[in-house]
Amino acid sequence: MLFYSYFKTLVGKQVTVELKNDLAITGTLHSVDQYLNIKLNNVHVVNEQKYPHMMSVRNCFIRGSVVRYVQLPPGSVDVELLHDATRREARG
Amino acid sequence: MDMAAPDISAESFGLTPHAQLEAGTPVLDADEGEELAKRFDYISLVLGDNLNMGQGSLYITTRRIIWVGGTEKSYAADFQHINMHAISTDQSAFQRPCIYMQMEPSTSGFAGDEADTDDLENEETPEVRLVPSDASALEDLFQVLCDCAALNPDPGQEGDDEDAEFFYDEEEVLAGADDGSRAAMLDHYDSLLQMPRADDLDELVAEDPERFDDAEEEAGEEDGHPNNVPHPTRPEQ
Repeated sequence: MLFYSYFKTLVGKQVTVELKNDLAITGTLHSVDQYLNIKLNNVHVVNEQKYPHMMSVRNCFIRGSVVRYVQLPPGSVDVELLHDATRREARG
Repeated sequence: MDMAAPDISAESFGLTPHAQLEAGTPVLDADEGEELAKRFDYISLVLGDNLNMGQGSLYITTRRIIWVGGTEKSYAADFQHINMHAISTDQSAFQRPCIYMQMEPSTSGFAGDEADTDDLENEETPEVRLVPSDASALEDLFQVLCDCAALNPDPGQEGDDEDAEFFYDEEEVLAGADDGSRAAMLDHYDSLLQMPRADDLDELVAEDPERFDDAEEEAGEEDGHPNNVPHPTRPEQ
């Protein structure tokens, strides 16, 4: 559950969520739960040609199990902290 | 206009036709703990861009959504098959404000629970819209869908592990602890790692003057830990 804890620190930041169907959505991270379900606000779609209907979306709930990648804001990645936390998790 | 429902197309949109009804109301699986969260009336169901199934009532339960547009016309979808849902208000995309949903493509009906979701990329993503006659219901509709979707994680998903509950607290995760005793152990280890003060060391050595006699021979064999301890000055006998 390292990712859950980490993603919680990104609430309010802009992230891009890429789904397994190739849809990529950028928005402000509103919330995340322990299943990595993700809620985004102020959404816009990166690949508009493939999903033209998503251009119009404001708030969006994405099922954790269909998320392929989450692109993080570079300034919010504390490599030291993550490194340490992953090591501890691996050990535990 | 109660046309015969085009079931085959509904299935290709990730919906199961013919929900079980009793007096026009869906029969819930109470044995499995299914409960009605909220009913929304005057909701149109639209498959894809423009296949309007008419107006009906939407029942959101703790497990699925069920839309009932008449005694012979009802469709359901488990939350586990609703991959995302969103509020859509841009009229250039759809003429009315609505909930836009992307559904899990149904490979072989709904027996396909075990289907590899990575195959999704090669499939068309079914799109379904819920269009309330009163757009002010959208926020509430969206929120109830979020709340109930969160109750339905996929089996075997990360976070569904038995010990996951121990990880909820951020501090615990950062401490690498999955339960109280481990946290206590880590604290204990931490305290062991503290360097003794010089006075303490003298005291220890005084208790046992030959304590560090062979420290240099063993230093190489003990993972170097003795190197962390300053070599004591041998006290006067």
